[in-house]
Amino acid sequence: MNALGWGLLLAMLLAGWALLDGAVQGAGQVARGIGGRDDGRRRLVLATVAPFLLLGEVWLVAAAGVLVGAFAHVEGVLWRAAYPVVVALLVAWVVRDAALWLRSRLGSPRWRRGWDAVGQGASFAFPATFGALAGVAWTQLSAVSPDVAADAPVAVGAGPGLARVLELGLPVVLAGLVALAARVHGALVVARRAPEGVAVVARRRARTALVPAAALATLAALGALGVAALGTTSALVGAVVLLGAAGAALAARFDLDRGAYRRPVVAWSGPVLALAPVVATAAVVGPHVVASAAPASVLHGLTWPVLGAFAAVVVAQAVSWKVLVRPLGPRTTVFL
Amino acid sequence: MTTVDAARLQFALLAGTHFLFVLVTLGLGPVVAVFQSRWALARTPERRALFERATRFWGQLYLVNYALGVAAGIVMELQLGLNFPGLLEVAGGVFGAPLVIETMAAFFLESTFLGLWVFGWHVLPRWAHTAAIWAVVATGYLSAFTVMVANGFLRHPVGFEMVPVPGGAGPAGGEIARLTDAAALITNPAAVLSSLHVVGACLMAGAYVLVGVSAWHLRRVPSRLPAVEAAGLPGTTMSPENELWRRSLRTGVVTGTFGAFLATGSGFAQFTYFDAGESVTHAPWLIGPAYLLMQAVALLTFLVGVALMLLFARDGLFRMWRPVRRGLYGTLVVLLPVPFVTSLLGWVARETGRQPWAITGVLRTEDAVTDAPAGQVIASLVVLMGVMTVLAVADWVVMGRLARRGPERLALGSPPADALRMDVPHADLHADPHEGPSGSAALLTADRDAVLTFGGTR
Repeated sequence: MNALGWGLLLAMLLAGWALLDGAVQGAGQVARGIGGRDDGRRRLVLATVAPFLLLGEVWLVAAAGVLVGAFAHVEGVLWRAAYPVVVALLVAWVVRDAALWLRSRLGSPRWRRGWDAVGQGASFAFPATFGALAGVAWTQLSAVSPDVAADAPVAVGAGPGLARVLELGLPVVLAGLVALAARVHGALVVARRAPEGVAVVARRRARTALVPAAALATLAALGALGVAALGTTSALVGAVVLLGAAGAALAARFDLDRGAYRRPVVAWSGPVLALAPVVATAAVVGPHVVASAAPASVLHGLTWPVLGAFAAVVVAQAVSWKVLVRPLGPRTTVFL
Repeated sequence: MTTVDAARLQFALLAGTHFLFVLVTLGLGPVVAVFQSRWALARTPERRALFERATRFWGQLYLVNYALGVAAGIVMELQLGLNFPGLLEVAGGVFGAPLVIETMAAFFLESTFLGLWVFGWHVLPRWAHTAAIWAVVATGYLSAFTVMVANGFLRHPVGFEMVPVPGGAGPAGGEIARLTDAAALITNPAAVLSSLHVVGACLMAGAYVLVGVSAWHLRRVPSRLPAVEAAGLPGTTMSPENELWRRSLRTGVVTGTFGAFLATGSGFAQFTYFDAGESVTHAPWLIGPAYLLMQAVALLTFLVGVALMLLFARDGLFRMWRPVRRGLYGTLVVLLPVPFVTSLLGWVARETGRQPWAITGVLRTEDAVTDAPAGQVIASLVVLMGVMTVLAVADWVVMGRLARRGPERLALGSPPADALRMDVPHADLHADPHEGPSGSAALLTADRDAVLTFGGTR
């Protein structure tokens, strides 16, 4: 597998994480709002996404593994530029996991309320720090960075001022976008899987987050246009994807407002919003990341073990989804 | 404190925290799988009930421990790249390979199968559910082995050559490592022998948990059914709970004795690829005593384990004179932390013995470390260690409570209605959420029962 293949694998792993773990992050953000003071209801919200937790977060671990094995240079650049962001991401991640696993282990209402509050914060911070890291990647691994711009083919009349604005703005915009996308996606997953009384409230949570998410997606699309203006033309694809996601979010809001929540655009708005930042990031940083992959000998040596492993994982996860993702019923396991 | 000191301390503390959880994951995992297999194969209802309780009780402790083990592992793996970028820069092509396999194959599958095991409890047929926990154990051990391949390369680098990079500058004199012989990397004695050594230590740790918790309960519960005792009948008729703890204690003693044997044998065999005497000189006040302690603990565990196994004949252990028996149980409870302290010392000895090298003879630690300012690394050390310490302590408190509670009110594998109703105070049942009219409408009592049982009963 060549560098492009490895790049696609990395993008696929990140997309899988955004889709699967995004549902858990979103549910974690809205569980308190939906459940209120009733522990059983909060726990019910978590039960709707519980199978996604163990099967979802490993996609990000695997992505980190591919980054180490095939794109060590990219990791070096990114970690150096975003050291505090990476530390914050790790903290948010472990706190989110601990909150989910520990909240139901003891019966005390205070223990559970406390962990739910902590989990809510961490479920927001986890995607937000990932978005911020993606924003740093946009500026460090594209023509925005002077190191990369030197060998970029075209620069259409944009100067260091634009680069400065992008460096400051993109991490913030993408942080907000990824966090809100997870919120919409997670709330809609809860709405699809929970009993109607809970689903109504979950849809309301998704609805209020749609317009801000669309606004942030539009801002991010403008950022992608800025990156393209500085010379990374592939960022145009990212801009188109983000605008499409913004449009889908607004259309979903329109349908939810008139009560047509069964329409496909509502069902798809969550996954589209969750995936758009990852796809856009792949478009923006893709060319530079692929160009700075590990030497071909390293990539070739790892190809078969990794592809074999990935095939095994895909089969195992497909079987697991078939078993686990079924309507909630008397045989559903509640553990979180 | 310099950047190098801070980065090394951070790695040592985070890896140590992670390893405390790994010990229980790898040590308890096979035990849970064996209990579940015996549950699946049991022919009588009593045995089925016994092994189901054993599986769910130990499985729940395993899971609570696992949750934080994963979190700690994620932190450890990512901060390696954060604080020691030189390691990947120089040896990414060799050292990175086992780590890719670890994340892509071993851990990815392990987590998937664990999800299937926990959340497929009432859905999968019993045989498939049992296969899932065995798959978790197998992939968990594969994961540990790949990490040991990476670590073994640092300690005893083989199967590679150094090639100059075009730029000619870099942490290892402008050269990077290239993998030439993958088989040598995998069969590296520093990976294979040390993996066996670690597995031995893990089995010992899991065994001490089994034995300690079981002994704590045995010390409390009456050894005979109250009715039998009241009737003045002789013999050792047991209550079902008592039977669970006796089984677990026996399993623990057998596992621990085997673990001690494995850890000792593979421990000494490691001296074939490195010079113990030379290692000790790096930190004589630490490594020498660590070796002694490891040997003493493993030897005593083995001897005491064999003695206890002899006492199992005709349940002799459980029929000893009561004060002696209670004293023995109390001692076994108090000894629970021993393998954990010993294993941590073992790691410190291994990693310190390699210094000043990050990769023996190839890359110095000071050249592998990040060029970030010391303040930044210290800040991340304080933040990450602070968070991990709080979470780890919370996790151990929960594990302690669950261990003391025994096999009552187990969440793992219980029907959803039970799990959701469990420990919810009655006052909370009819509370309103902070929501609009439809939110509170959803909470009417009738609806609530439907919610709790997901619209049905089993």
